[in-house]
Amino acid sequence: MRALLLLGCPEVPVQTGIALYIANKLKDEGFEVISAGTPSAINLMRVADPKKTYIDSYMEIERCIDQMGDGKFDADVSFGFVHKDSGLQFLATVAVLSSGTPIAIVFGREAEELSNEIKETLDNCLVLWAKVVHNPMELKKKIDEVDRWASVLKR
Amino acid sequence: MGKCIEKMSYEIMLKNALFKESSDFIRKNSEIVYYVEPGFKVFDRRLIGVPPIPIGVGNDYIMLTYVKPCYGAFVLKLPRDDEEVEKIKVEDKKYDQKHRKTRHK
Repeated sequence: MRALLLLGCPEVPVQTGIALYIANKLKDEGFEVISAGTPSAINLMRVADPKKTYIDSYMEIERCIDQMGDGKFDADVSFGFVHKDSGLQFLATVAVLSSGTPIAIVFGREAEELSNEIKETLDNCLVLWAKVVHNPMELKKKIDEVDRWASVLKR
Repeated sequence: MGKCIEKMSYEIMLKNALFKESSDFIRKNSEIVYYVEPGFKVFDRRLIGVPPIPIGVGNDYIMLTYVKPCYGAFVLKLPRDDEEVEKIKVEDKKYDQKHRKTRHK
């Protein structure tokens, strides 16, 4: 099983910590974990995980979309990290191109509005959200309520 | 391989916008508007966004939204390319048929 972490712009501090936290759980469940994002978002992950304990490989976000569009790359589950409109747009694109399950991890100051918009626009997308910017604990609590990521995959 | 947008002479009509704002701009300022799924490639770029994604076409231009993760949506006005316009028309027809079928289910 393969999981994709689709990172947004890394200007909100909780993103990197939450992404690595989810990756840790995914690795425990036996997923191959791939992270896609801007060069800055990817480099923050690389620096925090030098031994590739959590992330197996990285892709630049436009290359990821391009390869999905060409049918050369896909994932069983794609986590979109959303804290602004552009994050929602990238997740919506992956939801169309991928045969896997989309999951939205929403945070930042506009988390509630963005999570409502995702629920309205993306069918069958699990949305976990918390209005957090610096302290990830409220979002971590929501993530911990999902017992196994494998159980939310499309059947 | 399609032409590289970055090397074309394009005009930025709107920048750092929400996707909805860029879509509205294209709808209001184009002669003809076609609709496609996200991931459809125009020149060398795949379009990003919540479907349906509008593409504006006129006598001498193609207008589309380019989404950057950190900077939001940009509306680019590119020189018209007849080959690209034909691809867009075919994709618009496919999109229309697919979603008409869904609506009748």
